[in-house]
Amino acid sequence: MQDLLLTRIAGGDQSAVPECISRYGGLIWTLARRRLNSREDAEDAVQEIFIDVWRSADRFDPRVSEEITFVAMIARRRVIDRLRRRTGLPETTSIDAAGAGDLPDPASDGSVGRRLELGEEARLADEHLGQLKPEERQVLRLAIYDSLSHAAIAAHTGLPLGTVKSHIRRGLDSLRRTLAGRPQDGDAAAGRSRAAERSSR
Amino acid sequence: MSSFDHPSADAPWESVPGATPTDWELAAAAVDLAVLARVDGGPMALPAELAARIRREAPPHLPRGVMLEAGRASSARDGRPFGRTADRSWLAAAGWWTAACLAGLLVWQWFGPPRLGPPAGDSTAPPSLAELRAQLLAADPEAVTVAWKQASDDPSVVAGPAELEAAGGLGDVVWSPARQQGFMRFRGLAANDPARAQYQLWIFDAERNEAHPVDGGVFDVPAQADGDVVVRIDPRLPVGQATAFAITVERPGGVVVSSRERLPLLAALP
Repeated sequence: MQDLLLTRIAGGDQSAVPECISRYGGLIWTLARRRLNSREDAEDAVQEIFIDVWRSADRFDPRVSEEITFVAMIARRRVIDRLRRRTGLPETTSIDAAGAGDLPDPASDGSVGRRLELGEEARLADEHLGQLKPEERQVLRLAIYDSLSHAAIAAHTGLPLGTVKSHIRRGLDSLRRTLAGRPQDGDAAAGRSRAAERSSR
Repeated sequence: MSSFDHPSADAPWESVPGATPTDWELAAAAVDLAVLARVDGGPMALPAELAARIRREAPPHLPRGVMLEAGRASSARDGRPFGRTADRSWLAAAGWWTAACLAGLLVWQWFGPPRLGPPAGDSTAPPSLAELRAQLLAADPEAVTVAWKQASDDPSVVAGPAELEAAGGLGDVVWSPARQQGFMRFRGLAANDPARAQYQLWIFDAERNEAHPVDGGVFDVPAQADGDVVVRIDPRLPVGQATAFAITVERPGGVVVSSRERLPLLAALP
């Protein structure tokens, strides 16, 4: 199990700060850079995200999620908030006309090692995506990773808006249940929902 | 409101008893991580200067008891008391600060407002892009340099042969695979009006589908460019194995997928 840097930071251990920047900086940078058009904007967003990470360190609870997922959640919030502040709507820069939403076959690529570095919850999400129908998987990716609105996904895929919403709701709900039921350190999933409430902003 | 969804859409957790917004956000974050690994091949590296800035600016935002100092860090966990020693150093700092402010006020009164910009010979002035390009070449022996070639005969975008010959060619691309950084030099590329069109870089990656090159961002060539125009390469996604760099002319802000109708320059790696 990886050292819990946020717990150390919350406990006053200053040596965890550079370690935290080193461990999660690339991830946060990639998530920000992928969604924001300008490099300057992404740099500002990364600084803002880290400030939020420092301030939220004491709200991290390993019974609720893995640290990396918690950090990725904060990064998502801040980047999407930033997009909304500026444009009023999420924008996407990653979608492409032909390959939009395509994901490589989960059983057929060599990125397993890299996935494992991203945590057990990411691995479970990957497995979960692999079990979905291609259409559901595509919709989930477009909604989450490409930050497309439901209407834009409907327009892109040709699916009715209701179907898009239902794919997203069902796909995320079943993943949520999978994550909630995973074996966890310490006092297991029983405290998950209660603790999750605490970490809600 | 959770941030994973569009503002106009229903909040999905409202119809699921027992689920909290954070549950959904964590699930979305896990999907983000999973897709990041599959689509982008994992995270890029955080630029070193940005990492340093984040570390420098962290202290005021850290939980109480966590303090960072240049060189040596200290914290409540060190067992060092926040007592009289700390108070004395604060007072000393305040004294120096007051003295510095007074000195600054006198200078202002005697000499008027200071000039803006770094003084001549200021060693802290940021290096130019041309200098950064040279530094990259010096620092990374694996960095490749490849010359631009004219990909289409478009006189409105690229200068004529005689002019190019006089300028010494179209320029080149320097790319460091290890650092995921690079620079482009241009000569003879027409100035663009950013309100009407912009240049956009595309990086072809052997590890990606050729139909979907990596978006290298948009850039402009100024009208009054004096000498080489140097542009930093700043790909949005990691580039596994660059095979070619292409410049297209696109609408302001660039496009997600280029029709490649106007593709003036191409630099293919050997």
